[in-house]
Amino acid sequence: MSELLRAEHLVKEFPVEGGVVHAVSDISFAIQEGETLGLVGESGCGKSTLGKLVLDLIPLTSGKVFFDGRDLSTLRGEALRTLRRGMQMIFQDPYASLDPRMSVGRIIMEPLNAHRIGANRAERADMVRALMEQVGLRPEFYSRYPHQFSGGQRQRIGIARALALNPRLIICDEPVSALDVSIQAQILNLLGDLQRQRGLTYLFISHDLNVVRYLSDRVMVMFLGQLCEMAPTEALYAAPRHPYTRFLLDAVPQPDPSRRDEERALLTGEVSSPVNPPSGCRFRLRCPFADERCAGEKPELKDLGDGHFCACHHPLES
Amino acid sequence: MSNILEIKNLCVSFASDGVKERAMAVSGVSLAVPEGKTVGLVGESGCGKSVTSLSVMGLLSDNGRVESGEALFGGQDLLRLSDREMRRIRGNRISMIFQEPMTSLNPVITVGKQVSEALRLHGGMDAKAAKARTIEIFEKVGIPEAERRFKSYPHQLSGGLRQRVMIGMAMVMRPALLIADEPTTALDVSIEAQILRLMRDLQRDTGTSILLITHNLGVVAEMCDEVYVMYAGEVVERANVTTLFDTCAHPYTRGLMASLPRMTPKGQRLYNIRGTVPNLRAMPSGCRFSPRCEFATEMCRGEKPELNDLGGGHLCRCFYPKDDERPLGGIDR
Repeated sequence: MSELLRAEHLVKEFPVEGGVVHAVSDISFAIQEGETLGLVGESGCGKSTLGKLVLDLIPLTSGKVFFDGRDLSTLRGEALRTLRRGMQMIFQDPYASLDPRMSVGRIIMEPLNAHRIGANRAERADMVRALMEQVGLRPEFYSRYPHQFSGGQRQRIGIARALALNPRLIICDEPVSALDVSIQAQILNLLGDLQRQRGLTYLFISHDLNVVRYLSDRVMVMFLGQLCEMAPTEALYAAPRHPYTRFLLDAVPQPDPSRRDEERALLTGEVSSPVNPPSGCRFRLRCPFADERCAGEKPELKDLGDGHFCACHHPLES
Repeated sequence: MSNILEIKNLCVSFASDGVKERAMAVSGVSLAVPEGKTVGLVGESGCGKSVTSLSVMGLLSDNGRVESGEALFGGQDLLRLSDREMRRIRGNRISMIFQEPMTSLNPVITVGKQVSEALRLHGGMDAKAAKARTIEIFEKVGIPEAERRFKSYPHQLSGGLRQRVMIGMAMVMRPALLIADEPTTALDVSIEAQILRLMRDLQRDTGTSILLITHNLGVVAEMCDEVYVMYAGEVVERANVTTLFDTCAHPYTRGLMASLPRMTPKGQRLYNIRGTVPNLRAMPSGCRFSPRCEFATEMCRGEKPELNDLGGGHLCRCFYPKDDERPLGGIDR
């Protein structure tokens, strides 16, 4: 497997009244071709911002993104356009991300037009019909409008549009969060099928730990703009090393009533503000193991062996 | 044990602009909430679970109408009460909390005032006593710095704190019944766990019965004693929580359980229920789930199954409730 994407020391800060939002603070990672890297965290932790930074949809404060070995910041014009075709995004809200005045055919065709792919309109329309078929939409629906489709079908439209330019990397930002569970399974299956058929690479962003577990080869956990932990999926779920990951996994209500009375440690307190994040480890105000060192010294992401990385001065026993 | 709430054969319809026919959102739902228990009402969007609870509370929007049925609460039929009588029960003997507390809190009044107002209105306390009691309640529902938070406006609180305020307000009068409609759906998982624990603790202290409406089967497993599963305006299955998770019988419930990405390894396809929910104005004949059901036969398409007792109060609306000869196949789309 070769490396498709590398993010080095990504930083994003938004100035706001009374300070700076530290949305993403020095995050580095890489994704191998054909891999699914999951990204979990609670609202406001910066996971969606991180996804947008990788795609260059918003400018970096500092840091570098390499796609297929090439530094995005050094590319201009046509070279950048060509490279960016290889990276696409699927959004959470299929209602908000589709133009209600455009037919489904036109929505999916737009990226083809923008990048002048296909000899003429008829050829592009054929490509659109083939894409529709591939994502499980009947090509006869070409001229229909988004409001005539259900939520699950709309997400299929978003997926077809993302596939139009034949990308290698797709950033999926909460793609099933707005869907009912039976429809969610349909879309997860579709994403899995497309990955197998096309060798796609995913950065899969979600707050749903069960969904991330099902789809990902490796998982990153984010807290308040920083990575806490990154590990192969099963290792992370079976033996998390960062206290935050442990709390997060314990908090998920499991569909198993026999586990109801298990003693579970609950995270106390509220989420700290990314405007004035705590010094040192940003999780320390909610962490039962925090001591002086955690306040004074920011823990680095360290390799604990077998590809298991953790940013904590007091990692849990494996 | 007696039931605190008994809904019998509830039918609710909705009108919409430009369409002559009314849509039947709820068709003959019956359910009971036993005293001190938590009953779950589960289903996907549009199945009628929220409409059922709003009807009971007399909170249907103007285009909604209760066509028939009863909702017995303490010997009274809530569906036949005047607005004035209903107002006396709401927020007093029955309380309700919703998914997004922001929509149920008044944005221009401090949260402390909103809660203490309820105490003055329903509890007849004077301003000073109401304030003291409100701060006590805030502490009880885990709001840090309760005294300072008394003066906060809703937008100054996080989603988790706002939901705590709502729960505090709902529990102020120690209601006999709490209706909670997706109370944790908008919250992060760590906050969700706190709120669920809070609801359980309060129930233990006050003996309040809870009708919990949710789409999240994890929340059901965590909270409920009994569960009703709704599909397309009808109850399709009812069971105690252990039975439901161990041996659910209706193909729809089985499909829901199987489509959860629990322990399914990567690369293995998830089960999915094919198709989508039917249009409320064009219900399939026979069993409403039949167009999506992999076991459906001619009989299912032509005849309507009743809610049958499979034994021990496990109810199922299906001609072919689960037997082991019928494993789910997992047909796509």
